[in-house]
Amino acid sequence: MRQRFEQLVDEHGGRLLQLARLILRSPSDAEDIVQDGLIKLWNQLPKLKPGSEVAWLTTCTRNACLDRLRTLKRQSGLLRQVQSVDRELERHSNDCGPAATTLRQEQHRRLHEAIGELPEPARSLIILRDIQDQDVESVAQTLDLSPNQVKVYTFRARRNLRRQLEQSNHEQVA
Amino acid sequence: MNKWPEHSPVVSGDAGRGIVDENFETDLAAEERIQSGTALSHEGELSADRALRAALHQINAPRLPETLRDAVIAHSHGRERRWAWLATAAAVILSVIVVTALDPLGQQAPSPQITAKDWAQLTLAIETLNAQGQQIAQTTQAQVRPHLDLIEFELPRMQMRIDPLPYPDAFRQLFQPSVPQTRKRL
Repeated sequence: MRQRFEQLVDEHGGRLLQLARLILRSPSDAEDIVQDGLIKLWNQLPKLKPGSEVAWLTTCTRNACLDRLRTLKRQSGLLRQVQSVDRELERHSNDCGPAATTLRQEQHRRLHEAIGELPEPARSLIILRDIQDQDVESVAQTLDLSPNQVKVYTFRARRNLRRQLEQSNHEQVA
Repeated sequence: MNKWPEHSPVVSGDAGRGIVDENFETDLAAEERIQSGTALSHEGELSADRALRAALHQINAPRLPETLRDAVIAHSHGRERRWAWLATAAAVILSVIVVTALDPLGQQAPSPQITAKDWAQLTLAIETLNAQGQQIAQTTQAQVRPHLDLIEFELPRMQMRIDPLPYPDAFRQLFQPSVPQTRKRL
């Protein structure tokens, strides 16, 4: 069982961390969430059906991220949270060194920011379907949607995201 | 296009709620075209959507930090170690319980004392053997005795210068009444 657990950690740990970072936009919070999720996975592993671990883990991580967001909003208020997120992003950019000043890094930063501002489940759909390329069935299971709903909502989320990015570009140029 | 219904009547059977998603089929077809890889050169919006999808797909997942991974793996190891300790402790406790439970049983085992029942059985066995022995002796005696030859013997003459008894056979008859008279030596 431990071997299977380590395999899951190595294969999906990074994607979970990415999901958590894109939802929370706070690396430290994301790492806490992922660590908790993986420990829960270890405790639940004997009860889970083989093959359902990844969907369970993704759902668990996403729900924990959304809970954390709600808690942060209640505790600090939206304005303070945005300031905190900005600080985290700035720190994260500085951690990347001189390369962070390149246009590509800036685009990535804005992309991350725009994804983070999407409402649920649009944000999760963009992350799971377009970024992580998970199959429709898995995402449908994770988000409790039908496969066609996953396709349609992903399409709409992507288009909203594109319009946000375009608007942001126009504002920057102006 | 920008509507975000919670459910689609087309796919989730929520028509009863009165929520109508008019663009659901259109958007579904558009998404399937983006995913299928067919040429979209004449459809600027869909081409842009596909380009964004490609850009998003290039975002690589970060590696799980080693410290985080080590912490999680250590947790699993720690739990197994804890289970091993618990199993060992349980085995020791079980052994103690078994020994404690069996020891009084050994001490309270019945001592080998002969009961009245044992005595009755023993007496019956002895009496049976005795009766059978007596019966066998009687039968043997009855069958064998007529065939016994008279042991011939002479009284030792004692060199005591005493004359022999005048009627030795008189005594013999007292002890051996079945001796035929013909064999009398006079």
